[in-house]
Amino acid sequence: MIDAITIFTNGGVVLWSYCFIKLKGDPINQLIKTVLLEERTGESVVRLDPYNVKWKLVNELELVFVVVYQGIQNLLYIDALLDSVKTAFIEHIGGKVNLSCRKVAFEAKFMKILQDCETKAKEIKRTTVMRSFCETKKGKAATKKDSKKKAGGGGAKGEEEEEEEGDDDDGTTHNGNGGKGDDHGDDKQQQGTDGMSKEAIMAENRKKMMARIKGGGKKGSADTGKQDKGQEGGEGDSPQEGKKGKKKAPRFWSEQKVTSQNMRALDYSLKGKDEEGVDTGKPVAVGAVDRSAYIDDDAEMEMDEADDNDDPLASDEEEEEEGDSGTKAASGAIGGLFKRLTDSVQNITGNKVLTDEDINTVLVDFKTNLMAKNVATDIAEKLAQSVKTSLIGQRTERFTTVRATVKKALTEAVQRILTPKKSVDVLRAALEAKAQGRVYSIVFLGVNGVGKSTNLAKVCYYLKHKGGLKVMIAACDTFRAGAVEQLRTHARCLEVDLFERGYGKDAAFIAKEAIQTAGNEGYDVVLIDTAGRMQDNEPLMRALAKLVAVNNPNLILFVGEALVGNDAVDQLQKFNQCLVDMSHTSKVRTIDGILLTKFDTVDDKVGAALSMVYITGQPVIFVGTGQKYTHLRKLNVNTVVKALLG
Amino acid sequence: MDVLSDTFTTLAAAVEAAGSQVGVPITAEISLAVVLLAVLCTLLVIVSLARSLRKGTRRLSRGDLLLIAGQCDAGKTALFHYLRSGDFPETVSSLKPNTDIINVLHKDEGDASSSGGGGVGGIEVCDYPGHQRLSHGFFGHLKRARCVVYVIDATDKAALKNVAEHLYEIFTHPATNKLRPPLLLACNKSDVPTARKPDMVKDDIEREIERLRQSRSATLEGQDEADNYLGVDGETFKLDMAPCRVDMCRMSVKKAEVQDVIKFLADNYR
Repeated sequence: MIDAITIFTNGGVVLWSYCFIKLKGDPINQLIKTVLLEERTGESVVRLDPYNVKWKLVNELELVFVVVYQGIQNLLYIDALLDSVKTAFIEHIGGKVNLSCRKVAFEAKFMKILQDCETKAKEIKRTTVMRSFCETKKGKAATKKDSKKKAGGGGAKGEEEEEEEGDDDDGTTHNGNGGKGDDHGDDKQQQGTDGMSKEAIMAENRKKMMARIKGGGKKGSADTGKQDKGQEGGEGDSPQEGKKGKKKAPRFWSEQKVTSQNMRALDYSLKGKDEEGVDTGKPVAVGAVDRSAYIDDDAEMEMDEADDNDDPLASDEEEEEEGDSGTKAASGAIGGLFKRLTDSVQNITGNKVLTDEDINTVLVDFKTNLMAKNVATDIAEKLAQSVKTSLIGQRTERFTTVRATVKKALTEAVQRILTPKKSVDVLRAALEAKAQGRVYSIVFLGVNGVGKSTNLAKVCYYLKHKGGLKVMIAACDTFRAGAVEQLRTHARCLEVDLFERGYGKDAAFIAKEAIQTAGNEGYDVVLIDTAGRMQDNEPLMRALAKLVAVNNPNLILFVGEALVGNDAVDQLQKFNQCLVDMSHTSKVRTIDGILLTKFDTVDDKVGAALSMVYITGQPVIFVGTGQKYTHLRKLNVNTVVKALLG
Repeated sequence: MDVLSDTFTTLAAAVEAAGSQVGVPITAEISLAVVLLAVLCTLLVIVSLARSLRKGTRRLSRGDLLLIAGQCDAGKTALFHYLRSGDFPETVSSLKPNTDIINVLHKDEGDASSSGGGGVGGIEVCDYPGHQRLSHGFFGHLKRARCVVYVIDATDKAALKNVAEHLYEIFTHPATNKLRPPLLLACNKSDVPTARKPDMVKDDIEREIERLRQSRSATLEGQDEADNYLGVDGETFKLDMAPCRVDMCRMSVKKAEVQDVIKFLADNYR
């Protein structure tokens, strides 16, 4: 069951909604704020505890369809529901949406759709449950043969038939099961024939099994025609046999113009693919058959059914593909030139409805461009995906090309991601804490050698000299040789106090002591330096989680270097995950902000900023741009956007 | 088509005549080519003009836009729809701005007795979403604004910090300092018992902005965006010191208590 369904416009007016159960919290607004506005629409389902939320954007009408449901459910059913609700609703409102649209009565139609979807889902469920033997193809064949057998009467004749057909070696044994399971009228008669031919059948089966083990199932041991074919290919020599059997047909070259049909006939690349497709199917089939010789009949039956289920699906897909390419070819031949012409005209004049294809061709360039600017591959991919979903179905503006439209959307997306969604003013927060008489604590964490201590010193300079605050540095890197001495040097230069307890102690408790001391001695800010650690080093990560959990700092700053590429994703995800998983308190803290160091060394390859912000959803609070204490900046969003997409 | 070919021939004839006047012999083909070229040139000019027009004209004077701003869930979209059609739809967070031309004053002239002298119809109203991720497009709208209605959720004290920060940014933005659009702080949801009075909201905002002034004046070295200094040095900040006129009022869209907003509009669109 679903919990709620809502349809609203991009402008924010709810056009229709229905709650089956009163929702806890506000998952819809949460969805908008954490997903739709954060360029995470590449996926189509998100987990917002305790709900799963699935959505569908209809860009041409600027509508959003959202379904809220709990637990693990059949996603196919939800998809189908969203699709049919979408079509029905658009029809219901007459295909037009404007500002005057208000809540409409859609309950009755929705209930009908829901019921349809549910019954369909149930039907699918029912069919996926094991069918009785008589319903399967093989079962039908077997019963048919049974009746034949009955006609023949003699057990010996039945044996002959089996040898001829060769595909019913175990069909008859199933027959017993299937027949007993279903209350057929001819049950008794069947039992009679079973009794008659049972021994003969068993002997026959044994013979066949031996043959199969010996010859690797060379001779007609497959169960169905399809598998038979597959297996033939699976053997080393059979394709050659097949070739031998086929005579080479002479090709006639004519002087006539080459038609598309001719070309298709001559295109062996396609045929090759088809054969390959069969090839890939083969090993599995062979394995299945071989195994089937050793496992009992019931298990084999299951496998057969799986095949039966798969086959129609596969053929359906094939047909669809064929149909598609057929229509494409036709339109290519007739309307291709015209379509291309209108396309290129619309590309200049605008007002073109964007399709998946249009956007893809343009988006690939932008994606590679982003990656060249050091944006992590995953992130570029997700971003492109998200931009695509937000554009499909839209019309381009007047006098804009597809490229310009995509670029605009992408620029806006990047801008939106990089624009902080909360205050990045550390000094203000510290001043506020001071006004309330609290100590403001900041923890710096990150992997080795990214510049945690150096940038801690820069932040210290900023807070002390610009904010006039009394700052204490806590040396919680009790691990690396010289770490404390390094901080002592900084502290001396900046004329602030250092809190240290030497090496080898538990960092979490040094930090706790430091915060307490700061509170007692009237400090305003404590800057906690931690040891650098790789994200995969579990004991150290555990220690870090403990430090955070014990001290509950006001700000957790992740220090990352701008030089990092794809590893940024891994680093941040693992750091965040460790803070979530390994803390034993109920109130879980994650990274609050990012300090991007070595920003002066990357020129225009500023992609790391985008990657980091996208993964965490947290803003870049400071940017380190040099060696001096004063070389600390705030991120200029426009500059980064220009560098990435300029 | 006939008309087109007619004009072409007449134009071509004119070019021919001009050529003969100067003394250069011009054949019909050449004159036709000249005309075609001229037509192409004009087309090009028109297209480029259209492009530049689309990018938006930059006006130095204040525009005619009524901008509805504020944080998420303050009631901007509700106010927008109330002004537009007098009803109050259920809303969720907006993903994009709502813009429309609205005849605010004509409609409410009857019940708002204080609207003072003939209504002005056809105000362009823009309800800009409050989510911070969208804030980069806000100032583009601010440049076109004649006046701003800043909707505040009076029941949400925690959001006031963000309000203050946003207001600080508005006050220090060059557009505000140049164009000085009057700003109305509308404390929405006054029907809720826990709603705070406009005076209390004002105090809170002033305190927060004062704190911001301290931290922002300590800009990081080499900061390229030179913020305009806000307020008077050495004095605590009051909303009167803002570069534009700031008014406060209470409002409840739900209870249809928007008279003060309408009055504000009437004053500004006289």
